[in-house]
Amino acid sequence: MKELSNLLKGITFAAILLFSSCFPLEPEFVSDFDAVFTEISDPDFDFNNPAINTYYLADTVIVLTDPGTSNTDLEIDLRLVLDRVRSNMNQAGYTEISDSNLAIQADYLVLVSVNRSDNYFSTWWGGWGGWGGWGGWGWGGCCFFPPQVSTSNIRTAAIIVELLDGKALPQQNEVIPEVWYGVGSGLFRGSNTNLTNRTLGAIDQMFVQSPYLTR
Amino acid sequence: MKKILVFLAIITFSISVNAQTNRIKVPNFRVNNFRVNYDVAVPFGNMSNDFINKMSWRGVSIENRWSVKPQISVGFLLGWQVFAQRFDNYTQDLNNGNAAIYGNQIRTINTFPIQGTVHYTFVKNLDILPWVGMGIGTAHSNQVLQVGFYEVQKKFMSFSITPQAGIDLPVNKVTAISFSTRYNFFLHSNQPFNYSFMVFSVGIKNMYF
Repeated sequence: MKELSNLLKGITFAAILLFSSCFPLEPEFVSDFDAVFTEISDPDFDFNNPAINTYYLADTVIVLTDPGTSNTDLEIDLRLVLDRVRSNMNQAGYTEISDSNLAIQADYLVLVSVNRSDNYFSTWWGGWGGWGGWGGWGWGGCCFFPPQVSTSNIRTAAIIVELLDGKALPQQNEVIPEVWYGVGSGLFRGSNTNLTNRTLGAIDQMFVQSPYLTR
Repeated sequence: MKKILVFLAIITFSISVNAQTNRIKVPNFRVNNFRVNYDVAVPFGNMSNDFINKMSWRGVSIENRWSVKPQISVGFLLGWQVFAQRFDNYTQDLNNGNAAIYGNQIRTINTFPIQGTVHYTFVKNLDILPWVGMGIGTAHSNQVLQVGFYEVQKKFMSFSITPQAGIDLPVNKVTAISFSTRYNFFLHSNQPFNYSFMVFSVGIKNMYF
């Protein structure tokens, strides 16, 4: 009888170890947080319209950072980003209009922006009954006071490519309707080369997963 | 005198053998018992085609059975099964092809069946006890699809129906090892696919002291 109850205790203990996680697979690597999202923002827009042939690529990448951030260095050569968008548009079968005076004739206006943002969070240890941490089981906070607080930052970044309907441009002072956009997002972490490669790869992937853009 | 001794020896031996068999037979057990099972599961059908086709090595269930007739018992089952699978560099179409997301996907299902059960044993007087049964009840599921920073989580209840069969092998007076298999159908009307998976379980069956 006693052996049996010991056996049952052992099984319970093993089960707790074995099943301590409801989510056995979690993102492990920086690349696990990379994602490329594309969406047709105007479902009524006809991407197959044969009249669409040309595009104008805005010559500046818009840099979006958190307000009050002094360090806006994105560590990526933004010319490479523009070049990669251009080569993808050319490969998709469009002709670039590079003269800004003729931009009004383009069928698509292409805007590229990059974003970097800081996500601060705090972790408490100890204290009276505090919640124990970010995204998981923590220490229930029983035993010492004052609590130890540590603050960490997860820095994330995104590249956004937008296609605007150039035919709607002549209507002045109106919002130009966006017909398609792609967002590549991920952790802002890694060497310069690594960041650049992931950014350029995300641009390629936007076009790969949007076959309706190809002429 | 010698004949009598032999006679006594034979009688004693046969009594002890008889006692031995009774001792094994009696507890195995169409009487009240509880079970703790370790479960592995294989997804089938749309669940396998559309979401996760990898075998799950994480599952546990507890059961209680009360005998109501010599060969029939009723009881309940509480279970937990965890499915998880990675899909690297996967493009997921969304919104009828109007949108798509690419990245390393992690898909997870935690599902908790809560069922009433009824079981029937084929034999009355064997040590080895084969049985068939049926579980009917609900299941609570938590289904998560994760790509990059994005996560789609669905929590829902399903109707669950589970035909099952197994065999109990006695170990001693109060304990048996149970091998069983259950086919789970978790049906939920408002989700794109139902769950169906085959559970293979090995468990310890114990009678009440």
